[in-house]
Amino acid sequence: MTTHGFNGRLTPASLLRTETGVLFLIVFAGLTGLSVFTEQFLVTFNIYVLLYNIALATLVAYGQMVVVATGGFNISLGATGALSVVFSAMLMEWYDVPLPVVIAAGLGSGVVMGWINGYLTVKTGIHSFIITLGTASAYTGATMAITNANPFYDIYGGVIKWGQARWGFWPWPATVTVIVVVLLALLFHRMVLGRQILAVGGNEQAAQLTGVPVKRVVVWAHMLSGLLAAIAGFLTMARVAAGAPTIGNDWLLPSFAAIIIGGVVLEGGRIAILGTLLGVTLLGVIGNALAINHVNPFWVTLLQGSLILVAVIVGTAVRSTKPAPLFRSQAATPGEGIE
Amino acid sequence: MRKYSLITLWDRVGLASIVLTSWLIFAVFTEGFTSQFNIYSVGRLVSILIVVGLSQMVVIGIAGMNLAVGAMGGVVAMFLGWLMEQWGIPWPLAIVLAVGFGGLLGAVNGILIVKTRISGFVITLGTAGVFSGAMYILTKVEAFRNLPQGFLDFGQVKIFGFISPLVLMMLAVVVLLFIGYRSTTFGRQMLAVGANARAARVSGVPVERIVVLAHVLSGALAGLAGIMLVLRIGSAIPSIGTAGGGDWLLPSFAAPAIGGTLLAGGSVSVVGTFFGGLLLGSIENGLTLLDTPGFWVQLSTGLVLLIAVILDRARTVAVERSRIGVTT
Repeated sequence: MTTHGFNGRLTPASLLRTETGVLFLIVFAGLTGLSVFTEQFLVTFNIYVLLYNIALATLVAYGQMVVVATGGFNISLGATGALSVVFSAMLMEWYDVPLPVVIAAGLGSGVVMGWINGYLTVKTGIHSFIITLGTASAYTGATMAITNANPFYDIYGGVIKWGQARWGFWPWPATVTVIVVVLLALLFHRMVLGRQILAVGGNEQAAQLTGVPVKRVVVWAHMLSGLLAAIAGFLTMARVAAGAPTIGNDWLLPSFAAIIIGGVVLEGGRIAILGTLLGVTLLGVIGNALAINHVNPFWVTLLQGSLILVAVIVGTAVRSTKPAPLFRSQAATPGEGIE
Repeated sequence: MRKYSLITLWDRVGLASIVLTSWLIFAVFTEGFTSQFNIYSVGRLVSILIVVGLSQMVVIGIAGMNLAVGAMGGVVAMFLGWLMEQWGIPWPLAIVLAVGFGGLLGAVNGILIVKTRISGFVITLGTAGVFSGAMYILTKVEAFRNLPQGFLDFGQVKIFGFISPLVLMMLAVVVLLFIGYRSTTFGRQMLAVGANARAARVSGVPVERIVVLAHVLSGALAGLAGIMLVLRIGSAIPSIGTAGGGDWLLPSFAAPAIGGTLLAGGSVSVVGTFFGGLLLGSIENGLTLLDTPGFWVQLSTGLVLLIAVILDRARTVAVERSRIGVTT
């Protein structure tokens, strides 16, 4: 592990030494404070809403994280989510396609959009920021062309029912997020592709020289990003019971805020599965606290922006005060580059 | 000095001829594209797009990115409205103060980037949220609609019946930047920093100061674009730059990219950005006249951006090949 991982046993002191540990303590303190000082927080329904928000935002943040891990960006994340939602809703309302086909087509369309992003990025050699900025408007254009800016409301009853299903405070769709967390952890800790994604992000030339199929790996990362955006979109559709073309409009800033707070390095090569989850949780808890206290929702934009700045500034300061690691290789040993 | 080979000539003439072709197409297929009133309104639309593009181009030139262009445009627009409506400050002075405020916001970006050594992408992503959020809270998202008559009249001036003062403001900016990059030390130092910051530092360029100043310039230009939009629509509304009438993020990158300024830094094309903005604005206006739904504008901007960067990459590869003597 690099400088950021646990070294040895898990003690309170070692917890404080890691970014994830500190973040966990901040979130924990926030939750405790809210439970003690506000009556409306620790209510089953409020916890249900909070968990649902976190579950959806986590998928979005991971969608950004997997591309950032390669040193790229996906500006089209929200546009991808929206087009895949509109596509699956269109199949339901206009063509009465069986549900499994709808799900497969919706998620598949996300993968295809991710493939387009990745293919254009590696074929042209232009930074994915510019490519996805362009494709984002193309996807949004297609979304608007299909819907004429009106939502689809003929979502299958089963989907809507599932979107509202809960077990006490636990929203059933949040289970999908749990599965995604586990699968992503497996991908990045145990599978070759995960290691290759980090290797490409850490040092593309070095990765190329050691035999990593760089271009294919970048395309895979973009496809994974598209899939995650599509899953997040589908769950949002189930929750709001409509195939709204506006889904995904406000994903960009929170997706970057969450991963930056979580300790993901935007230059690539380092991800944080747990950290991102905590980053999303922090943003979700703050949003929830503001809502409970009837604070003007415009504070959310300000807070997200400030948290990005605070997180990067503190993160950089912490990293620069730590001693340099013995080996500066990126993602060469198992577990390195991951938190 | 830049050599005027066939390829650099095609750079200019090529884009200009594409713009001309689009004008010809719209003149033939739409009604009223060449009318005096339409030329007037295209001029106003295009001028704002070009200044937005230049605001981004300045930062791309130092190998940075500025995601706060739209946020700063909106904040400065509201600041201008506040100065005039709340404080009754004469509008020419208010415009000068508002541009200065834009520069101040840019300075915040630049100083944060230099002091923390974090990439401009993250810093401006954060400050964009802070700037917009603070403005929403302070203004309670209410527009300034009672602007002084002199200001409103100025926005409606028609020189020779079809030229807006916005066009003259834009042209002044284009000329000043063109001269600035070509023959001032500051312009050259910005490009040196963008090409290779370390080499620039070694050869005595005050890299930190140049980065901050470039962001000040970018902020002032973003603010000017916001002011121009207030002049155009006659009120200062909070959605300027970020939502109403379209997010500036895409056009701000599209105009320079179409004009040949790519993200690598170290080289910019003021004239190219001018034509890039001209093309985007002309297409937007033509599509509106064709009665196409609004989203086609966004779709076309994205597609034009993608096509332009892909063509540019192909051209660069061809140039490199011819330079090292590979013939295919």
